[in-house]
Amino acid sequence: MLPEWLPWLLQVNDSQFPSGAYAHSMGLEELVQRGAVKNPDQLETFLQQQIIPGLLAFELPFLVKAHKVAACGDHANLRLLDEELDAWKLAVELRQASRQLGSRRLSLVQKLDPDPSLAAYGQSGAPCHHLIACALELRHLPVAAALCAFSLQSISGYAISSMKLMRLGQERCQLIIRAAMVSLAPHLEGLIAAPAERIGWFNPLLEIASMRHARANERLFIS
Amino acid sequence: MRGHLHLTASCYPAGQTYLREQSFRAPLHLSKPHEDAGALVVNIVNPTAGIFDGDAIELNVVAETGASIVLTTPSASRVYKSRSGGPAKVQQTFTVQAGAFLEFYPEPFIPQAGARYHQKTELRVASEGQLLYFDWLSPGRVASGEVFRYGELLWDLDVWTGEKLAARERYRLSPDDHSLDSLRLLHAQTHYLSCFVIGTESLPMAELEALNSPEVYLGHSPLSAGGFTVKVLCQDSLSARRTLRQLRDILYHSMSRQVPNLGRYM
Repeated sequence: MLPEWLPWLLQVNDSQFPSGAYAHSMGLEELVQRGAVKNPDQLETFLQQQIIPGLLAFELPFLVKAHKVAACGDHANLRLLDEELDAWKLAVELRQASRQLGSRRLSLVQKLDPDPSLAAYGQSGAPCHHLIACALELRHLPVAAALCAFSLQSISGYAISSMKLMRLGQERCQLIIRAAMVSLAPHLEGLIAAPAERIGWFNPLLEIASMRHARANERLFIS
Repeated sequence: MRGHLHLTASCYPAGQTYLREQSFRAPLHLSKPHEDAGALVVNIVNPTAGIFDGDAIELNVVAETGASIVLTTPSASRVYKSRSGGPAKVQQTFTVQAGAFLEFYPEPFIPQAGARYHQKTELRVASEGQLLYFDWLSPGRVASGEVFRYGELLWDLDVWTGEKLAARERYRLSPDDHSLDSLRLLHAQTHYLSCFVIGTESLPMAELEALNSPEVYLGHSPLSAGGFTVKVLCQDSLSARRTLRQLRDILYHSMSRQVPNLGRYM
């Protein structure tokens, strides 16, 4: 039987969903300009060795917590997690990009499916990070679906922005996204079954790239 | 060993900083503090060979209103191979009260092959307080061929400005996974510098940008609740030392402070 939430998940995860993600490279533009990621092979390595481990060690365990809190309707604790994300994101451009994407998503889903609870959170002055918005908009779905959705949004964001930064066709782009999701998916059940007590990831290169991108003389992407 | 260093820096009415309270226990020791450029310079000495698994060290330093204190180390901090499989643990808290200044400027941290180490750092800065906090993480004993061969480093840091969490880092660095990949992408033997600057309205952008070179990849950003961070990847120890010294000078000038001499020539 078709899960009743599946059409919703497909719609809000569609690449045409106007969340504004197409305008962000999340620091990748600077890494390409620096020559640290030059071609599709290196992009694939970057995703496999730096982005997926970061998702598994930080964002996804954090999303498990946020999803649980959102599912309970506990907006006070969700706000605390939201504000904590401000502290985790040291690079101002990554912090603002996450807030912009999250706020935009919350606003859009609110229009598609008006929900006083979502509206109240969106208007509360909370940072509305992308991760928190995903937890809220997918709070009635199984957490595994929320983790898959957030992972796909993150990975495809890098891959699709790369098509404007290097010689990368649509077909290769989709192959890279597919390979990344195949690598990541087997770890999700473990994250849900045994939530990590200690989360966090080390990626100073991407942090510095984002910090430098914020002051670049010319750029294609907002972040 | 279970060692500690507890310091409280206070200020005489005439404006001179002194240590109102001090307590330390091996493996930590203090050299005789001296005053320079209006600050009390305190060298934290570890007279043993370094840090070993099983060691548990606690640092707790408070700069009270009006005090200006600079904490530094005369030599690198070495962490040796874990024989037991367990880590050495260091917990450090630096508290800066309103109207006080504290700098922490250590020599490089050198984790040797097989080393296991867990460092927890908490920086608490009241409004109107000023802090300069530096970290220098080396890849290991490079001259001995040990590059990123430590067992595991757990590196935790929280920065509080007033009652707000301004920065949080939780790193687990190990050659067994991809956690070191971003360090190794630009240079094979990257030295990592990290700096937190609290209590200044702005950073001198052009001067900081000018530190970038083929050997040095530097970024800086405002934090979410006041203050700034500067992160740097350096090609080797020489470029790291040069960058750290220049960065320190730039930040001191931006805070309209004279740079205290640490008594070193490099």
